[in-house]
Parts: sequence; C-alpha cells; structure tokens
Amino acid sequence: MIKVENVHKSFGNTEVLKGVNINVPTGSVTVILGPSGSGKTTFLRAINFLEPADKGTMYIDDLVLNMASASKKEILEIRRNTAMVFQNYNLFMNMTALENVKEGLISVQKMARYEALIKAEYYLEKVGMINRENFYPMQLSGGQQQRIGIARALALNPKVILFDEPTSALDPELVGEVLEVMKKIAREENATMIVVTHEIGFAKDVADQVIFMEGGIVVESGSPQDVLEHPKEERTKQFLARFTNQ
Amino acid sequence: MGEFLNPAFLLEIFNYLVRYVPITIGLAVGTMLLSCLLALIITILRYNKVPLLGKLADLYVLLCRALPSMILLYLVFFGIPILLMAFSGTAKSAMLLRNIPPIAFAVCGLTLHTGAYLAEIFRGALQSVNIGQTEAALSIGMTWSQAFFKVILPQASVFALPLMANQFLNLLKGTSIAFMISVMELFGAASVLAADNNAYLEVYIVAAGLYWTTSICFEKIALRLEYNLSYFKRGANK
Amino acid sequence: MGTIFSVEYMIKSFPTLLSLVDVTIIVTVVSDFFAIIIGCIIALTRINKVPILSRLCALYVSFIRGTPFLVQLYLICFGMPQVLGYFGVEDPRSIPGMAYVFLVMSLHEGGYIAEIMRGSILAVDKGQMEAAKSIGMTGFKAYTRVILPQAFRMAIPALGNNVISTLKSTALIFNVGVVDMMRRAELMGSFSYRHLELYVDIAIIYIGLCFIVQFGIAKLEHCTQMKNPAVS
Repeated sequence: MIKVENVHKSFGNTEVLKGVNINVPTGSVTVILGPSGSGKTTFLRAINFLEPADKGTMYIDDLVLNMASASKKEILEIRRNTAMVFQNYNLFMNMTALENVKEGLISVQKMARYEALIKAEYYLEKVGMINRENFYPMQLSGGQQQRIGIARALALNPKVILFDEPTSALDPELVGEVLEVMKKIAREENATMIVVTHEIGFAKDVADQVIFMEGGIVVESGSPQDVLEHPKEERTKQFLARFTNQ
Repeated sequence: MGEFLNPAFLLEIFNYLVRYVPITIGLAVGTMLLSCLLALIITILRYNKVPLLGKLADLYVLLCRALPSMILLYLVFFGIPILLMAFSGTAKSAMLLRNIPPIAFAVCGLTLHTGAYLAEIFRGALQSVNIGQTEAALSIGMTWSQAFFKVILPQASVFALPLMANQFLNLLKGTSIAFMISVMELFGAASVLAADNNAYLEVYIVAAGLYWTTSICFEKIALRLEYNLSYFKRGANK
Repeated sequence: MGTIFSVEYMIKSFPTLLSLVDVTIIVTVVSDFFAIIIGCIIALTRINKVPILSRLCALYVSFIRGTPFLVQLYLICFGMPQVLGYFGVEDPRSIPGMAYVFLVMSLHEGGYIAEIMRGSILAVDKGQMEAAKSIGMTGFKAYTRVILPQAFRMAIPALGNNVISTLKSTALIFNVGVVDMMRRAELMGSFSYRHLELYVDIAIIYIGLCFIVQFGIAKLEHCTQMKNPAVS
C-alpha cells in the first residue's frame, strides 16, 4: 500500500503541486490523467525524490516519511522499493538490453550473477525482447527500448512501479506494443502500478483507480467507470470531451 | 648540393637526438598522469560547487587557460623558490632548492597548464551525458558513486577521449619549452647540438622529424583506443 | 616579505613592460591575417582534391600540427639564413629577423586555420553550391559570395580560439631575437634578480589581452548572428 498526503512543490515562484493526496492499494493499477501543466509528472517524480517535494508525507507499507526532510538514507530506501519507467526510456546506453535489466539486480540487490542472469532473461522474455538481449539501445527502436525499460523496472520486484508517460515519446505504431506489455504486467504480475498517461483506453481497460489532476490538485478520483464515464466535476468533463471526438 | 643536407650527417644527428625522445615522452606521460589527477580534483570541486574551493577551482581554470604555458613555466620556476623562502627562510631554502632538478619545475608548470584544459574537457564530458541516464540509475536505487562509475563515466569517457588524446599530443609538443629552464629534452639537445656545430638547418629538420613521427605514432594509438571504447555506439560485442 | 617579493618593483616595472605590448599585438594580428589567407587556400585545395597539391597540403598540415612551434620557429629563423646562403643570397643576415617570425607564425597558424576552415566549409549545406551553380555562378563566385561567408560565420568561435592561441605563441618569439615584453623582462631580471615580479606583470598583461580578444569574439559572434525574421 502506498499513501501520499498533502504534497506541495514550487519551482521558484510558481506553485506546481498544491496539496495532492492519493491512496494506492497494493497490487492495484492507478492511472493519473490530466492536461499538461497539471503537475502529474512532477507529482510522480516527487514519489521517488527525483523532484524533492517542499512538503508532504509518504506511507509505503510500514515506512513513514516526511518528504521535505527525508534523509539520504531514507531516499535510497524508497528508491530501492520503487522503480520508474521513463518517457524517454533512459536505458543505460553503455549496456546491452540484458545488462540493463541485470544491472539493478547485481548492483542494488546484490544478487549473484548467475541468478541475476536467469531472472533478467525471464523478464526480457515476458516483455518479448529476449531475442534482442545482446543489442545496445542505439540499435533498437523506441518501442523496443521502452519494453526493456519496463523489464528493467519489473525485474527488481519493486513495491511500486512508476510509469511517467511511457508511450508519449513513441511513434504511433509503436504505442500499441508497449501498452500490451503494460496490460500483461497488470494482469499477470501483482505489481502496484502508478501510471501517468494520456491513453484513456488503457485506463478504461486496466485501471483499478483513475485520478484526474488539474492545476496542481486532485480534481476527481474513483473507479474508471465513475471518472471516465460519469464524471462529477465540470473540469473532468471538459478534459474528457477532448478525447470523445476521436 | 652535396654539402646541403648530407644524408650521412643527418643520420649522425638522428642517432644522437633519438636518445632524447624517451625523455620527451616520459615528460609528457608523467605530466599527463598528474594533470588528469589534478583535473579530476578540480572537476569534483566545481561539480559539487564546494563553497570556497569551487570558486578557486573556477579561477584556476580561467587563468591557466588564458596564460601562455611559457609564462606559467616561468612563474613556477621563479615562484616556488620565493614561496619556499617565504615559509622557511632564505638559508634553508637555498639548500633545498639546490637539490630540486629543473625537470620537477617543468613537470609542475606543464601540469598546471594541462590540468586546466583537462578540467574543461571533463566538464564538457560530464555535461554530454544525458541527465536521464543519471535519473534512471538513481531511480532503481543505485548510490551516486555506483551511478557514476557504471553509467556516467563509461559514457563520458567516449566523449572525453578524443579531446584528451589531442591534449596529450599538444603536451608532447609543449615539452619543448622545458629547455628554457635548462631541461635536456629533445629540443634542448637539438639546440645545443645545432649551436655547437653551426648546423641549424640539419639539426632542426631531424628534430622536427622526430617530433612528427612520435606524434603520428601516438595519434594512431589514440584512434585505436577511441575505437575500442565506443563499442556501444557501433553495437559490436566487447 | 619586502626582500623576497617586492610589490613596489612589480608596479614600477609594469609600464616599461606594457610599452612593448604593441610588438605582441602586431605580430598576432599580422600573422593571423596572413594565416587566414593561407588557411583558406589550403582548405580549398584539399576540398577540391586538386591533384598533387592537395597531397602536399595534407602533408604540410600534418607537419605543422605534428611538430612544436618552438622547433618550427628555430628551424626557419636559424635554418633559413643557412638555406639562403647555400642558394647564393648575399649576406642573409640583412633580412630582418622579424620577417622570419612573421613567416613562421603565418605558416604555423595557417596550418591550424586550414583545418578549421576545411571543417566549416564542408559543414555548409551542399545545396548552397548546387543552387549557386544552377543560377550560373562560376565556382569562384559561388565560393566568395555564398560559401565562404557562411563558413566564416560558423568558424568564428574556432577562429577566435585560434587568435588566442596565436597570442600565447608570441610568448616564445623572444628566443629568436624579437624585442618584446618577454625579452625586456629577461634583461631587467638579469639586473634586478626580481624575475617573479616581472613575470607576474607579464601574466597580468597576457590575461588582459586574452579577455579583450574573448570579448571581441563574443561581440563578433553576436553581431553576425543571422537575424531571425520572426523576431525582427
């Protein structure tokens, strides 16, 4: 279970997060939607302290911490229990696909090399990239790189996997393969997923909880049916209206 | 034309001067190693924005890149004795200084000069690595030093190496100024030989040839090194 | 501290040394001027793959970049008179030493500028030459009116660095008889034994010159930025 309360963040004089609260049950898929500038990416990055929050409290299972004054040790602890899939994939360019997935297992989880190899190959297989395990990121397409990025996050068996607009940087024809992998993981693995995305279809198919953010706060949240089909708030309705014209 | 550029004479000069090439190479390699160390320290100070030392590091890089290496050499050569005298009195210093060979001053001066250039190269190399690489490494729970050595450094090196190789070649040539503080390296030996025999043209042509070939050799080595280190850009297996 | 390092002497000698800075500046400017011409000719020769000549140019550039400036300086300044003597020139000593210095510096910087210009000329879009030729321009016209201006604009930062490098090379020419700040400092130092103060003065002057050149380059870069039509 992960619960985050009262998160505030400002960049200079602009307040980007104005008191965000979310509650994510274990093993569930939470999708965060919202227009650009709503703060959803900043909020996600605040969870693993890539963007340190000015104020807020985080509860992950038994861990409690103050997000503004977390120590280096606490931050490291959080990062060892979470993993992120980035919009720009951010695969380690100097390592092959297999090495990318193995790296965290060996360096961070201190796993034995052989064990790490088996586990890495298992997850590469799961995302359908096992036949490219010895390729370097520069030789792979965006969709392929992102699937490896997902395997890298998954292999660590983190308590929470954070997805930061995983398909936004992909060419349209590659989006599908990545979404398929994400749906598969949601179904087969018991990972808790927090996904920031524009893909409403994905939210409808797979999400257990949908959160709509705008202007730095949570405007509405609930099940996909509630939020997407019967939105209560006016702002939610306006946002969704853009997509119904597709 | 028989008197002009007599091949036998040139060969004699070659045999005499070639023995000084190792001194030049040694001077260059030694300086390069020390400069890398210095540049590393300077870069860490600048990158972490250490309060006072960081600013001093910035100043050092600015000044030592603006000054001719000759000036730096003279400043070191005349300055270190003065510093010693200021701290331990004239008599004691004179004793110490008599035992320091001029080559030490040369290495010092050249290191200060090259170190500043390398510091700038390191800075550029670190900047060239996409910030996303660092974020990805940290996000899976790596410590900063793990991220640095496993992800950032390999990628930064590919950027830095051609520039460092170029700097080394400059250094090979730059060792020639050490003669001004009476270090007997290749150029120094050539100057003395030329003056003694009044054969300036022949001696300096041979000296130039020796520098040229040494340069080309190191260039080839550098190219091989760059090729090997950029494996992930070409996709070949290590 | 007064006997070890004299700030008073430093200040007193400054104007004397500064008065010779014109030598440094003139050598830098004149050499770079000729160097740019030489560099462009070499670059164009290599780009157009002129038979034999382009091979010679490549060799020339390799030599300049592979040997120390000091060696080139001594080679020309002491070797040339010897060569001229062999070729029957009467009294080669009558040629002023400065002529050799200008020659060496121009040739030296020319080699480096050749590489800079070769890079930036090649970086100009191929379409430019095609467009120029398609409206009937000769190769020469195309270069002078279209390609070279663009190449120069792109090369300004690198050329600026080269000017600074030339400036720093001038610190060595006192060894072949040029009377500049360094030579003066050598003479003054041999009388007063206060070498450090003199070289600190010279260091200050060189740093000053460096900053002036860098400022000039930045200004030049700014002025030659192609105006964005959407902005103006």
